[in-house]
Formats: sequence, structure tokens, C-alpha cells
Amino acid sequence: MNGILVVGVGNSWRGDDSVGLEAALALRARLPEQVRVLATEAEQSSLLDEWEGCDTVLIVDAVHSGAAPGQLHRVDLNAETVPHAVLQGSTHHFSLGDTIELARALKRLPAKALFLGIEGESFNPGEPLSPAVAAAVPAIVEEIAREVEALLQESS
Amino acid sequence: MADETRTIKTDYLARVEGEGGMLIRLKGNEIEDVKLNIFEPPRFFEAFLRGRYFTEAPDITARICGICPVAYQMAACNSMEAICGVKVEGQIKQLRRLLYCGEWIESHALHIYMLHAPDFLGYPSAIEIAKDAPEVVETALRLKKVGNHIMTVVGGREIHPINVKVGGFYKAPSKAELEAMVPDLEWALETSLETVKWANTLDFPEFEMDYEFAALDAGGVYPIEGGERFVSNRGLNIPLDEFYEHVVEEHVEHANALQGHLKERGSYLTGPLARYALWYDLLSVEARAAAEGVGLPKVVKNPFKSIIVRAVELVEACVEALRIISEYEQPAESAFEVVPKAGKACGASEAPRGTLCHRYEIDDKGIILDATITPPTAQNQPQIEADLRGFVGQFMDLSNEELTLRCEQAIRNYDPCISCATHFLTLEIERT
Repeated sequence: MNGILVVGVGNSWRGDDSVGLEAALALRARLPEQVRVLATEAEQSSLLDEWEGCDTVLIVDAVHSGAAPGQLHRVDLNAETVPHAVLQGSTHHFSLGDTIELARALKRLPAKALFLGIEGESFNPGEPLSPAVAAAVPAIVEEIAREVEALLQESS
Repeated sequence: MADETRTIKTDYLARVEGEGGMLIRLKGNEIEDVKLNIFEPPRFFEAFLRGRYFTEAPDITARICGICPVAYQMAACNSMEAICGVKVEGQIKQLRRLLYCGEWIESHALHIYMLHAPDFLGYPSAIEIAKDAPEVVETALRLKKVGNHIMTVVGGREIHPINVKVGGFYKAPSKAELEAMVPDLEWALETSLETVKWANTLDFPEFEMDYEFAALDAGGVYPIEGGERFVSNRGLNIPLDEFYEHVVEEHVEHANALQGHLKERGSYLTGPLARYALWYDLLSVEARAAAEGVGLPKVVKNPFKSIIVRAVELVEACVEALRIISEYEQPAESAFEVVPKAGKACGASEAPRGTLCHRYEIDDKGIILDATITPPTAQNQPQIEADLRGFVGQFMDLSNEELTLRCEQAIRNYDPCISCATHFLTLEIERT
């Protein structure tokens, strides 16, 4: 067992794009210490190094697909790709979608890799989470926490 | 057909920073139109800066770009320090250069291997290269990481560093923190030398342009973190404060970015090809040996070979970073004191993709009254269009598909940063 990494990504200055970071901070408080939880705005190709050696990675990010705000999308990254419409590219460096595909090509995706996308509503600069997304966060955090706990039990 | 109309068009350019497209219209053998369309929305940074305190400019302008934030921070600091009559020297100046080397390594590695190499190797993106030649992409990622690490150690974080201030740094790193980077930098230097050789094996179209090359004159060192004069191979040699007397910016209909050109002669080129041509003699022994080793001439006029020159600059950035670390002594003070003084001055630095010029005017309380920012991509736009005209004129016989690919590659020769270029727009409100 080489561990589980939970990583929340996003931009804290762009409304609902910060939801991945918010969820990661809540998960850090909620989960046992042995689970590494990362909230990062850093350049995304660096994630390949963050999850190096991990058995499991759960990536939490905001998505924009036209679904209801606060809806949780789950993608098993070892079985499918994240649809482009769900995860639009960043113009800076590598986007998260590119990073995931790069990791796949380089055979550097952990054995279990889950993408958890939280549908955002508003991505305007300088705004806080929209009410609908903020309201959905506690239940999503609980759902992800339970999933991580189940994985911990499986591996123990 | 003599008057057959052909349109070479890319709606959305891949592997460039920001949002832009390209349109070329041919009628028979005549080029009717060549446009680099920049449709990324304008960003109004210069307007945001008015009314802010002078020390805020480095952090605000760093946000213009995630690839070259250090370029913005340095140009802003240089300009503010020039206004206030402070000259940053010694270890603090060297630390700035080290931070900037991190940005060059990170940006050049990204462009060489991930953005430009796919054009030469016939892949749509680096992800496809990774499937067939994972070692190429792993090399790029590791090089980028070395650059990012310098940015983190010196700048506080890898994107939009937070440790830079007017006058120097909030906290200068310890010698031990810098020395810990040496093994990685030694690997990066070896890899950069290999990168020069690898880049030289790529296929290049037989194509040259007669460029006016322009870059900063940094007074005896290869220009990176600043320079006092702006010079060219055609006799331009001006103090930085005269930049806007010679560089004219124009708004064209097809771009949300101003196009910069020299009042006297028109388009010019800024970036690796220009720095290399103007300052070859100031490169380190290692960088010059790398260039000579692959038979690269002292002046490169084939823009497609910019990938080799970028690799030579990668060598230079590694050599410089290692030199600065070996000579470093942590300064007692991390910054020079800068007291605001009413005035106006230009400050510039050499972003990975070319000269970036800022000009600010502040009052005696340090409030910014006016700001003008001229990024390298805005300056290179007319030259990119000139290259496209030249290239299409010479290679008109290629199929539309091949010509489109080659023209996109010709744009990527410049490593354009469209997001940087689009913070100008003259907004006219008509009221009736």
C-alpha cells in the first residue's frame, strides 16, 4: 500500500473554479492523516510527480458541462478519458485534461485514478462560490470521504 | 488556374498561449491577405494599474501571463526603480537573474519539446509524442521541473512568484537552499547540451528572412533580467526611455492586440534569434561551444531554426544559474529601499519570447498615473505576418494541408504568447 492522494485543483480567484480547492481543504480536515490531501493552483503537469508512487489518486476539479450546478461527475480514468466538453483546457501550460492524457501515455497514471468533477455555475473573476455550488459542497465532501475510507479499508 | 483563389486558414491555433487564428488568402500566385487574428478578449491591465501604489505593479502585471510572470515582474521593478533613482546591484541583481533563468528553462523546455517539436516530428501534440517516444516528453517534464524549482526556491512559488518586490526580494534565499539545486541543474545542463544536438537533427525548410533583430543591451552580459538600451543590427541604439519614440503601436482591425513596429523601418524581430544574433559573443563558453558543435552560424536567419537557438539559450540559462549559485552569498538585506519620487521611466526585460517593455508614470506619493506595457508578441506580430507572406510566396506549390501546417509552425517559431499581447485595446465609445 503506497497510499492515496486526494488532489483538489482550481483557481481561487475565479468563482466556482475554486470548488476543487475548497473541497480539498474540507477533505483534509475530515480524512485521517495518513491520506495526503493536496490543494494546488500550481502548474498541472507537476501533478505527475505528486502522484508518483501512489496506488490511488482522486482528482477533484470544477467542471463546466451544462449540467445542474453542484452535480458530481465521476470518471474512472483507467477506463475512460475525461470528455473535453467537461474539462476545457487551460491556456497556460498544460491543462488538467492534457496532464491526465500525458500521464496515461507515459504510463504514469496510478492503478486507481478517479476524476471527480463538480459542476460549476459561474466562473467570474473575484467572485466567491455560487450559492448552488457552495450548498452542494458538504454532501460531495462526505461522499468523497466515504469513498476514500472504503479504499483505506480495502487496502488494510 | 492563374486566378484560382485559395484560402489557408486555421480558426484556432493549437500549441500557442492564448486565443488566436490565422488567415491567408491567395489569388493565383498573388498573396492577397495574411492575418494573424488575435481574438482573445482585451484585458485592460494598463487601466487597472492607474491609481494603484507603485509597489503593486510587479504583482499585478505578473498575472498577465502564467508562462512568463518573472518577465513582467522584472520589467515593472526596473521601471519603478528607474523612476525612483535606485540601481539594484550585487547579489540581489544576481538573484533576479537566477529567478529569470528558472523562467527561461521552464518556458524554453516547454516550447522546444511540447509545443514546437510536434511540428517537426509530425505529431498533433506532445501527448501523441509521449505514446511513441516517452523519453522526449519525460526529458521535457524534468527540465521544466528544474526551472519551476528555481522559481519556487527564489520566487516563492512556480507560477506568479510572490517573493519579488520593487527593490529586490522579500526574503533572499540561503546559500544552502540554492546549492541544493546544483545536482538538478547539472543534469539540466547536460540535457540542454543534448537538446541542442537533438534540435539540430530536425528537418528545416530552406527559408530565410532578412530580419532587423532587436534586443536589450545589458552592458556586457547576455540580456536577461534587464538592460539600459534597446539596440538592433540596423543601427537602432537608444536609451530605453526613448523606446516609445521609435516603437509605434497600431491597432489593426483583426487583432485585439496592438502591433508594434519601428517608426523608421517597420517590422522587426525580438526574441531568441535576435538576442543570439546581437549578443553571440556574450554567451558562455559552453553555449557557444554547443552552437559551434552543431555548425550553427552566429546569425540565424531561418526562423524555423529558432528551436536550436532556444536550446542554446537553455544551455546559457543552466550555465548562468550554476554560476550565480556558486558565487552567491546571502545578502544582509533582501532589498534596496525605494522611496517614491514623481517621474516617468521605461523598464524592460528579455522574456523567453522577446523584449518586454513597461513604462510607468507615478506621482510623489507613489500612485501610478499612467502605464504602458509592450510585450514581445505585440512587437513580433507584424514580423510573424511578414514571415508568413515570405514563406507562402516561396512555398506556394505545397498542398493546402501542408501549407497550413507549415504556416502554423511558422507562427510557433515565435513561441507567441497571445494572452500577453492582448491587454491593449483602444476602446472608443461613440455616443449619439
